[in-house]
Amino acid sequence: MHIVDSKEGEIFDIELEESLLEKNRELARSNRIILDEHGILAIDVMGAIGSGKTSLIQRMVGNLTGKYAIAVIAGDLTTTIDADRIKAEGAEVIQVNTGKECHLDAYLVKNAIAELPLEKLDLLFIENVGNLICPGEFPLGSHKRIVVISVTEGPYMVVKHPYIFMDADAVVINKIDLSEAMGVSIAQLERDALKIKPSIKVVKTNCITGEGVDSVIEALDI
Amino acid sequence: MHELAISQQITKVVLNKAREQGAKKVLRVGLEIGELSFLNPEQVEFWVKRSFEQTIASPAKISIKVIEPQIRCEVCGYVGKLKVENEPMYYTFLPLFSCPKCNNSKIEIERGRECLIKRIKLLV
Repeated sequence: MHIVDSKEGEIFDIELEESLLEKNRELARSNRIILDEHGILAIDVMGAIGSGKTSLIQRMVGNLTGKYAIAVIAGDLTTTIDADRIKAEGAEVIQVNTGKECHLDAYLVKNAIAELPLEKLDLLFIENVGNLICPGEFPLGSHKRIVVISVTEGPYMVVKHPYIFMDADAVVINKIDLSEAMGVSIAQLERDALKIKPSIKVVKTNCITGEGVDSVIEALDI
Repeated sequence: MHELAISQQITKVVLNKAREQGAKKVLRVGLEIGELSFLNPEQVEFWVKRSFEQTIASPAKISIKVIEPQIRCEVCGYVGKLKVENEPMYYTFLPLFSCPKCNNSKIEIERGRECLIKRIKLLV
């Protein structure tokens, strides 16, 4: 510890370099180590409210059950109805939301991971809180991050929230069946995403019918 | 959107440091916020000031330096600014997360995501 012998009326100028986001990053790294030790692949699913995060996870769980042992950390304001939908597909579900937070952080995920039967799992989906801003600041320790957007959110969803794509491996454009009714060009959303991040994988889905869900699984190398 | 929470953390760190040094007053707090962090410096300043009220940090002058992003391309070795496109149509700037030289997205963000308490000036 740095001890300073101070005199009355003296002025101290302290160089600090105290990083306020570092604690979360540290916890995220330790989450990753725990996941890696158990051979679990973790996917952080981000996206706006109502974009279809839960439906996409439910569909992916449905398509992957049997192949992998799956768990879902439900961090969005998921109702028990949603959780039951996912459980019915054969995955373990842990709720971490209180309905108040604007993002998940590595600490909440650490606690959720502690409750999971890690030895038995291969795959973990972490559903983040419906928000295209805050989750971007808080890595959770996942191996991959995807962003779900949908055409019902309008034509500018990508250009208005470019920073969320900074760490994303894939973007899912959902509700493609509604693009005509909404007057939203899917091709333009795709161009916008690729302009911001040329390496991002773009997948188009209709999570009601399940169209495109296998392409998401492929894009994530699951 | 999480400016209040971050500001409360800043306050806690500053007051703890001041207490450690037996300070009577905190005179100045210097922060650094990266442009790629999801924080609005104006809001952080407002909330930090608010959280300092009725503490020994209430007279502190808060200065915030905004850190421009610096990237490094893992493919061609480019080190420098991130390309930002001005989109007058949306009244916004569009950051492009790729190398401005070779268009590769294998880039490392070296600077621009920080939220740091850089220095504190105390009256002891």
